[in-house]
Amino acid sequence: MTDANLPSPKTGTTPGMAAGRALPHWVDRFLGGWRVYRKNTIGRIGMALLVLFALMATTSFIPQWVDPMYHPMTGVDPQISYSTGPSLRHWLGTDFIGRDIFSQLLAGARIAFMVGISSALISILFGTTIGMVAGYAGKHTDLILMRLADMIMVMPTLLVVLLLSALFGQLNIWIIVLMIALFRWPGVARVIRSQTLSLRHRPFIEAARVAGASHLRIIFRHILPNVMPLALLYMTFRVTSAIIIEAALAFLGFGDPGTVSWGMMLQWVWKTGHMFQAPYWMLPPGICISLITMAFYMTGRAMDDVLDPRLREEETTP
Amino acid sequence: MDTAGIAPLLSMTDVTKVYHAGQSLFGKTGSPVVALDHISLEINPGEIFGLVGESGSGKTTASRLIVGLETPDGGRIQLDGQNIVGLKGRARLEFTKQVQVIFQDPYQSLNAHFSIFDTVCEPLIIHGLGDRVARRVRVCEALETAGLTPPEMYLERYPHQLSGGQRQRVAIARAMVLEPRFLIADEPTSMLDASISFQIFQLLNRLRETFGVTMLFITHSLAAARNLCDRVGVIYRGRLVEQGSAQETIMHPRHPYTKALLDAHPRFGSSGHRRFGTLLLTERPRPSTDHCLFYPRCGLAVDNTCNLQAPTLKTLDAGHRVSCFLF
Amino acid sequence: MTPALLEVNNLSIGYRTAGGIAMAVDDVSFRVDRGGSLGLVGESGCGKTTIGMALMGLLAPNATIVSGQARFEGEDLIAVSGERMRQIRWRRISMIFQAAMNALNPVHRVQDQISEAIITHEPDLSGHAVAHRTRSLFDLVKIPESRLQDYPHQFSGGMRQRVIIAMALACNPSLIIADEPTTALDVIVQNQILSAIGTFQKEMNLGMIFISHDLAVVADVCTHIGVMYAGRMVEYGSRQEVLDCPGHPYTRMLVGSLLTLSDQPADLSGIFVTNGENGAAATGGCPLNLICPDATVVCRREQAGWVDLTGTHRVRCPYAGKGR
Repeated sequence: MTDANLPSPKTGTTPGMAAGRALPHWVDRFLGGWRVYRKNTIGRIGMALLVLFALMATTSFIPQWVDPMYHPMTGVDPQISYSTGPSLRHWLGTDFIGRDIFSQLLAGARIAFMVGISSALISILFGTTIGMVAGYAGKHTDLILMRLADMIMVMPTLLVVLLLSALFGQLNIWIIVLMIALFRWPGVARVIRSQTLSLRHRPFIEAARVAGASHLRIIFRHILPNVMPLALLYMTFRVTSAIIIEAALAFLGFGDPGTVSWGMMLQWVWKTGHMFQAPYWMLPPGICISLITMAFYMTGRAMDDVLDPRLREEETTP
Repeated sequence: MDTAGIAPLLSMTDVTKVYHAGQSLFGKTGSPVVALDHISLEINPGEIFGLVGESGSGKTTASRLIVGLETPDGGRIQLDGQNIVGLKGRARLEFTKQVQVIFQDPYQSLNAHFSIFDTVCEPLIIHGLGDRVARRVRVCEALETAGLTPPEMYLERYPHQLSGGQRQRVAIARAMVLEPRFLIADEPTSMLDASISFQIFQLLNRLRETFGVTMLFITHSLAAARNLCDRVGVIYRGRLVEQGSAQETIMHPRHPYTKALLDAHPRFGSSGHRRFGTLLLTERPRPSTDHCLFYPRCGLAVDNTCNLQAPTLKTLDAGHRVSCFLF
Repeated sequence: MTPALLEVNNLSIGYRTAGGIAMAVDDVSFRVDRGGSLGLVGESGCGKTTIGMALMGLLAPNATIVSGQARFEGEDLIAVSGERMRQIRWRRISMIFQAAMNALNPVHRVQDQISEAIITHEPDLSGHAVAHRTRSLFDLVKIPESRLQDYPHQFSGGMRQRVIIAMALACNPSLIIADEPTTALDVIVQNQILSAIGTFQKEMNLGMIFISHDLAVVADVCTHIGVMYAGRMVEYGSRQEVLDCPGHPYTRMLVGSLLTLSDQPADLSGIFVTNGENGAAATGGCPLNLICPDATVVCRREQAGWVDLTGTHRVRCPYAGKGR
């Protein structure tokens, strides 16, 4: 009879799952997701590009460390006081006062990541919280929050930010980040809200309510882990739009004059009249902006595939 | 079980719930759907009360109203004589310690992101019971109670690594970890295979015997109700049509609907059961006036009575109550 | 003995997975006679649906038939070409699925869907004949003629299941495979559907394979019962034999779990202590050896062979009929 007490918790539906291994669930899910992601060509290209840009961002401090004249903002080549083309000394040439374009390009990658990721993070934070609260609370809360979201969503972000910066003069890069974030949460909130609506009446949520769980507990312990993957997916798309908006602002002359972003570089090209005279100066930041937004977008698209339940179904069910 | 004179643990009095179009579960049409229509029942301490009905009869709505997942549109629900409708804050927290639910679908009622330990431990955390060590002990005890032995084997697992029967045991452990006085089992086995269902019934029966927990057992199966419950109520389209001891109600049914349910029960070739044949093969049109809800399908219906007014519950012998004009 | 309508011999089916082939059906044999009905009982994942799908030629792409034959009206269903299988499917063998909601197209009237099924497989039939056949099918499954013009969403679950049955019968098949046809239905409706199935099966003298996890339902409609566990058939016999003297411990457990409506309630005080549901994948031994109360060392070591209890009643357990 002793044998009868031996449990066999291994299920019949997941034959590939080793029964003894008890990895945290999110690790399991992440690894499973990664297996699907790896097969996606678009995702691989996007990821490779992102790694490249991340490398640029991390190496951006090296040039100024080699020689102070390579400082992207303040470093000026003492022998040059005008824009020159690529040379061994300046791989991509110099700008109108003799600053090194290559080191500016590296610094721009850092700014792009900083602006893109931090503003995306903030908008995801807002959007997810507001979406979960609206979807879970329902009724008037939902109505008010969603009308607010609608109002912000129909505002042309760039125009409003332009107006604001025209009103308040030159803006700090962090204020720009915050403004982009504040204008980009409604889309996230809508998606998270609808996901929350579908979760709200699922039995495991009701079980938690029956156990006496508070609303906060239900939202953050039960709903959040379930909407998290979707929020992360939207983050990649938000990064894209944040980078573009920042570049546009900078190009139009409303950027932070204290930073070297790619938009800023384009702005200098334009303002000093080198637009059609110095392709070595204009093309690199332009290409970088396109590539990095494309990279984030491709990563997002591939993540979308990973989250698609039909593509996740790898296991066979005998 | 003779329970005359004992104060009921849970009582529902004239409880009504109407779903309106747009917010309802079934509403495709514009008209409101009456899920429960003046339901009154009392559940005595220590007994298992079976609520039997088909899908859409309102039996699940009854359980949702009791635990406060929804609020009734009329009537009273009391636990120990205390009102339990619309509880908030501390009062609700106290209430949830006493009343727990086992949901129908063990594939849906467990959070996929929670390990078994997290799942069963959550009620303890919510109610602030015990420290880390004490909680672990209580979780293990609850898992053992639910027949998951040795409990250490299961603590670190996730729901998707368990079979349906094991998941339902986890759900039972989660419900029992607070040692509630009242347990609602909402069709706990309808998603499970027959042999596993039987084990779950055994487990529920043992919970009653060991812990003296009172139970509302919601089911569509008369056989399950017959074998597990002390008393049963049969519900049809939101109205209670028959109520009494399990033995009396199921072995000697009075209401034509109960008889129809019995007729429909599979009897695997064996004869010896008489067929009541109370179900009409072709339904009658639904009368426009107030009527007995079973009238359109009832083979025993009396014209000019059953189609003109709704019957009320009449008490026959030994607490057997029937809502039918024939009695 | 008359030749069987369907004779399955030593059928084994596996699913290709990352870790090799996982056997879903292992060495299963049975026969179905014209007018007879075989119930395949077992818990979810025991391979009963896989057998049905294999006979229909509808196995999932990652499934592979390892060995065995299925002789149906003189042809081996396993060996025939895909083209021939398409001809056989629905015309000679048809299937009643579980999910009645998904099997019907919501934008077409039910009558058109049935006519469509007839015309697809018998294009030579005149319009009049098709209409006549459709009406007689609805008559058979007891759907009033007035509802022919309705759309699926206007039907209740039970009515939809009747439409599905009518579609399965549309081309006069000789074998019907019913895969959990009543699982999602209420008791009264289930009873009506089961009796409808029983009626047409007798009237049309069809062979039927009835797949279900519920022994009570199978016992209601079938003449023979095959009990499956972990891909193997562990007991096979006529309904009366299997129900009255179950030889295999697993069958005994199933029969013991049948809840009856008797004067004496079943003893729920606990005869099974096991929680090893959905059994451990056995390596070499009997798949049940971990949860079987009678398991011995022999069971852990080797596969049990068939033991014939009577001419028609076989059990895969060495201790069957030894008075244990």
